[in-house]
Amino acid sequence: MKISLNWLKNFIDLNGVSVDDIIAKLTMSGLEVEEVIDQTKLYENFVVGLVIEKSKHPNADKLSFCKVSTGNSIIEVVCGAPNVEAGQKIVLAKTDAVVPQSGFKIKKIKIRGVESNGMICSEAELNLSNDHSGIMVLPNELTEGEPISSALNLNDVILEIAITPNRPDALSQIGVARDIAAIFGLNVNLPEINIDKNNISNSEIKSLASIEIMDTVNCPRYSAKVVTDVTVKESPLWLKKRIESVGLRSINNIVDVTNFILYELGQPLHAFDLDKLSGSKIIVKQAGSEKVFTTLDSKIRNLQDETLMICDSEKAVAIAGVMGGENSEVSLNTKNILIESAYFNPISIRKTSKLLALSTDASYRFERGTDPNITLFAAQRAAQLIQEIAGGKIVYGEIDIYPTPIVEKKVQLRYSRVDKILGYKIHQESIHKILTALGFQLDNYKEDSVDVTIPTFRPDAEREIDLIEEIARIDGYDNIPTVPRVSIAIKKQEDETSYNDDIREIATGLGFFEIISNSLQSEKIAGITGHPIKMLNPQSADMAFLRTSLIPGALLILNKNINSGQKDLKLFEIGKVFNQLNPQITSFEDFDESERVLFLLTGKSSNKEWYVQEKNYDFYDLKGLINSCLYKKSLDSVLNDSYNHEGNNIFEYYLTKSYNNSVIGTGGKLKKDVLSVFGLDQDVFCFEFIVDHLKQIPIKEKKYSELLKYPKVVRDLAFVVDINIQFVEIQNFITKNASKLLKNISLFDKYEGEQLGLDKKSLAFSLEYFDNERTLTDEEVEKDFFTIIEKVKKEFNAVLRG
Amino acid sequence: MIEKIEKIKIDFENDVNAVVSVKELEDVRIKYLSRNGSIASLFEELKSVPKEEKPALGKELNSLRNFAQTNFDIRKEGIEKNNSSSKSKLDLSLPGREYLLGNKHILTQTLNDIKSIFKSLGFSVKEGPELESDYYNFEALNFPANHPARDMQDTFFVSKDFLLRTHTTPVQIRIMEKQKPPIRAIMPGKVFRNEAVSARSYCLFHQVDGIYIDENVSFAELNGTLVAFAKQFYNEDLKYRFRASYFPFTEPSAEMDITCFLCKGKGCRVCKHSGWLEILGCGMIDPNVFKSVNYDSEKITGYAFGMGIERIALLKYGINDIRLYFENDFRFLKQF
Repeated sequence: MKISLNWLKNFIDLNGVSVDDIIAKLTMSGLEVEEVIDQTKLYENFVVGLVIEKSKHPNADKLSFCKVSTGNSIIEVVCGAPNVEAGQKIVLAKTDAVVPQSGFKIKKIKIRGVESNGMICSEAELNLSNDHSGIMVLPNELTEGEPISSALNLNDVILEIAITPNRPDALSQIGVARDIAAIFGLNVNLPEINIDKNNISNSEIKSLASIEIMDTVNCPRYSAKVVTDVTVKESPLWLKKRIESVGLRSINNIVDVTNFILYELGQPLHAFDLDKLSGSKIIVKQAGSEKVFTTLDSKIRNLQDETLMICDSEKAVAIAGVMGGENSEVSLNTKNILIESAYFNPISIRKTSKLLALSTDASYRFERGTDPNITLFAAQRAAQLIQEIAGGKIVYGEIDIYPTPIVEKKVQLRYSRVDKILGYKIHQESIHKILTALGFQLDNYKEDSVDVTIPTFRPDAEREIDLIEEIARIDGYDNIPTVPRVSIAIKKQEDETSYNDDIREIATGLGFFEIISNSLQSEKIAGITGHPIKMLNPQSADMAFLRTSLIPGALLILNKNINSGQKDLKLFEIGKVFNQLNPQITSFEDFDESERVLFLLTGKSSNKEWYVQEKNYDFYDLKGLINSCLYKKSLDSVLNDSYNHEGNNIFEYYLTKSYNNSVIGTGGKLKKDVLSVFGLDQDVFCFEFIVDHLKQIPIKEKKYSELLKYPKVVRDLAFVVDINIQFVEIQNFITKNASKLLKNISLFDKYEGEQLGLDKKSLAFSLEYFDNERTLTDEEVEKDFFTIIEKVKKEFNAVLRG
Repeated sequence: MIEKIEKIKIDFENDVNAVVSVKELEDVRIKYLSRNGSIASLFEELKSVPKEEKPALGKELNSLRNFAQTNFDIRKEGIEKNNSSSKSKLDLSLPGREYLLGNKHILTQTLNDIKSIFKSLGFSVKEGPELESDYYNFEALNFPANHPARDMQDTFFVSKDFLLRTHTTPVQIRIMEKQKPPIRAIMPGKVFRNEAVSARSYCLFHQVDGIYIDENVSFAELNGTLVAFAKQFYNEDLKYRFRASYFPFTEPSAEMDITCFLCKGKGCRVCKHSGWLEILGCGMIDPNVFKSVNYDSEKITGYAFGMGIERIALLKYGINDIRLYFENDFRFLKQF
């Protein structure tokens, strides 16, 4: 929202208040000034010039060479505009001037061999209008050499203010003036109305037009004034400047006045060509059977049954509160006008604006809440201004349909409550002053409270807490004391993120790098690993579905890294994935949101170095790292592993870890055809845990166990067995058949080779025996060891090696 | 003669000190100390000097020979030791075997810094779902349906009543539904906004919300807590300000700014020439929020605050494009 300080000066005396102070204090009080345009600075080095001589540029047909007088010096410039002539007063940008439109700084340059020391400007280049057809020609009475900031009254300061959705009142010059007045202790004077003073009869206007509201819920009030015999023409300079200063484009004197009032008072108005209203009648009703309507921007809009429309006796003439229609628009031939000044239900306007995807200055204000009690004042002010600049006659009286007037709310304010919420004391006199300056009325003063009447232009304020906010923000948040100490809780602190933080700690210790990938993916990608949930309103097809697993997102990231030459990666991610369970999502039971941890390996585990050969990551790297991770969480011994060699739709082969038959995680080597979707041609190994399942596994509390006091006995042996026999089968068999003295079995070698035969392999085991209570004798170990050997030979048709 | 002795002494010293190899050592020995070396030839010369000068010169010559022999031996020992020991066999300058440690994502690291400060102030850490209902994300937080405040947060909907949460604030409601005051917790997590992806905005980011709810919690205490946080997170003598603002779920509401640490408050591109950087939003919890969880707002008051982690890390580490966080380029990951 643009605010012009020159405009504000019409209602508030800003003498003695600095612009910097206004900016700082408005920002602090909640009207954040985002940008300041100081025209005096903007138009520095732009002066009025007189073209005293114009000749053709010797080397260019379309350029001319001009001598421009600035009173005390003659400046030579090259000009490209077709309309430049000797004798004109023009705007000259001298060297060092910065052109507002482009930010280009004027310097002495040679244009096709001729030196130019400035520039003659168009209105567009000066940001005064969009006209760039030629240079701006100034009135002859202006003095050469005078800065244009003073010659053209371009001395305004424009503030761009971010208005939060709770402050519709501040979407106008008056509203911002009110805040400034409250902050600086000044008074706001509304513009004066001088019409209808001696006439209280509405009979004249009623003979010219009539109004009927058929939907008083969505249109609680409709006020109108009529002005006859106007002359529609270009607006006077002062009006153009006002509305252009807040970023609007001048259209004609009538439309400009309605926009002027909108920006001044915050009340949207619409001017109808009265002669185009059939039956000279306005009916406010829902669209019903009308399905389409052409707005004044010549676009055809589709209507809903409940869209609120302004109609005449035959047809719709405007979409209420949003935009007028082409069929009743004010044109150059318009003679008689009806000014609409209404209050519409914010929800109704918002729905219409959303449905049409059409937000206008009017709808923006109506949907936030305008002041229902300013409509008549705004219509009168508009009529008065129109008569001043477009002539004609203001028809006495008004039409004002307001069946159920909206009354001001009254709230009790307790001083003790102010203290309690804010934690510091604001004096009663200050409280009274602040509220009064903002337009609130106080009465029923008591020792501990006061009754506050809330003006209808502040729809955001309806409760005591809202008044406390008003008091605090105008008093200034600078006054909030910083409490010297903060109490801390004695209760046990829970940290629901600590489990994941532990995993991160372990993973990074094992050399994994954490990634955070986008949860939104294309249907193709998200669909690989589950039933993805679709966004109703995605930004793009690439980001229209929620991920169903962490794997695809990580593969997208691999692709990018590998393409930039980073092929050896050890990554992990912790994040939520989502799966649709039922066709319609109407409750939390219709989808599954589950937290996952993904570990992923690709490329080389070691580069070729002076001490080691190059090696690629393989399945056993993945398995070992996962187990190390589980070991740190004391989960390594409670999970069951199962292996699948045939693979599934994602893995070529995989390992599943489970606890009491519930799957905790799965991982293995990714299938080639999955990788090819992501343009990857190097092997990828990954494992995904379901965090919620992991968390549910009870962890035994750690207890100290006595350190072993007696020696261990280690016996090694190797078997040659059939190549299809798995390590784990023999390991389990030994564990089952050995005595309690055998505590550990490890595999220290595996060999396959021609001398064994192609269908054979050799597995070398190391068996560790000990007892916590005593030293073992050689005999008892030998006995167990040889029993095992015999049993394994028999069970697996194994041959003891060496 | 005496001059010659002096000269040979100096030459010898220079030569022997320059020796680094066995071969050079041998050269020095031949040049000075061998049977035909320069010292031996001086002894030859001594024979032909006048008698009365002999004793003194002889003494000088002997002392030169002893000096040379001693220094030669020391040097020889040094050279041999150098050659026989590790230097030739064990090259300590070979590169060591390095083990690459991993890294937490910079957003995780930043969040952890924030978490540890609030945990030290007595805050718990809570989580909630990312796919939320309209009720928790908006309705219960005083964003009525069809209210323009909803435009403040562009939302991804998956159905009429379910959406990707636009802030971590709904977790407040979930905590309050389960627990009675006093409550002191922060709520970190991923949030989503339906905005076009650019250097300055992404379709998702991370937030930390915080609440303290009890009897007699005031705006002044909120101020104190956040100043304590900011001083620990940024620096002790940081300048800050609280500015009035608007959030549907707090009243009064504020935004906290700190002095731009790039320009030190002079105004620059990053702070949009204001000299201030907005770091968080906060306020006193709106009575309507308490109403939705059946708390008595006459008795119970509370504050809430929220901040975006991407923005904080962006400012702290000078990262100039929010997309970098989610591209996960390994060169980026390794930097932190």
